[in-house]
Amino acid sequence: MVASLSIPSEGNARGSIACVGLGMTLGSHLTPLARSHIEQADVVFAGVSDAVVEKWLQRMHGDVRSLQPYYGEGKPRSDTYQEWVDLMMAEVRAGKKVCGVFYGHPGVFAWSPHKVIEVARAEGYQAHMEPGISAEDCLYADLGIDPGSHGCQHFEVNQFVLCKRQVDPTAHLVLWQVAMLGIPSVSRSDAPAAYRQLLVDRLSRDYPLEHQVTIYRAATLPVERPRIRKVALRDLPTTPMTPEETVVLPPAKAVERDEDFIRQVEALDKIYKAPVPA
Amino acid sequence: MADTIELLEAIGRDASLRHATADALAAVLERAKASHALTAAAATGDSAHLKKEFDYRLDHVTQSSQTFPIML
Repeated sequence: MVASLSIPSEGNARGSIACVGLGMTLGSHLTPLARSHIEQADVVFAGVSDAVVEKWLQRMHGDVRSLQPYYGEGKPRSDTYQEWVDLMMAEVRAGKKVCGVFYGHPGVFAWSPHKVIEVARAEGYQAHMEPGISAEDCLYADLGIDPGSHGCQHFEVNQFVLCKRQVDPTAHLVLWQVAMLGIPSVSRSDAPAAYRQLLVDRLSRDYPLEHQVTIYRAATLPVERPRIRKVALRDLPTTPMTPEETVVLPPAKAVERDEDFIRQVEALDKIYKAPVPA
Repeated sequence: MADTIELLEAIGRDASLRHATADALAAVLERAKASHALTAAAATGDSAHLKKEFDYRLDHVTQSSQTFPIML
């Protein structure tokens, strides 16, 4: 039996911020430490996956403030994310122990948690990020992909299309938020097919159009199963998708040996792994 | 009627419930006097059934695209 342990509370405590992840699935992924951050906070801000999850969070703390109302159709997401930082920092500066709760991992595809920690630390406040189980973690389990087997590249879809990124078709390629291609705000519907055709045009430089791709969504409620669909690359523009869905392309080519480096390793082996004389 | 959030949390943290067949889970929930919405969601695997019970709003996906805040 472990004795009750507690740190005495300090008078005139300075504000602080902890950003934690709920994980992806309600009830399944929340770590004991993330729950403790939530329960010990003075105020909790919530950027979670849906209203049911938010109600679950409200059972853990009496002052949960949703970040959802700050989104707006036509309003740049960048404005929304800056507002979230400002909201959290206002409470930190007021001396509160603040917890920012985000679904999945608070530091994966999440600008505001990283930013609020950066700002808080710059102003001398204690700031911490606690990892959570991300959609990427669920993807590896549900699709049976080991990033160590072939390697794995990840890109946010707009960055992939708008910037000159190097694709390695011998590795898995994971494209996030494909339905948000060309949408700088938020939207109830996915982008027109013409935008996604640009993505297919870009991918067709490295993959055949008949290449089978997987469209994946992790379960967020424990009565759901992961949603996994397979389509040909050429059909991606006309396949309806939701913003939380991820597109995964398996390798299209086998890896090639690099004979030059192999020779260099063999030369080093002769020096460092030579048999020791008896 | 049993509390839906408590039941969801119980399913989420229990290995046999989380991976039960839809029929088996729906039967368990009926015996537990779960709401019709939750039982239907479990039976079909479709959380849309919970919309009415929670006055469900369609949330925007948070942690969305990072390119636009960075590039613009």
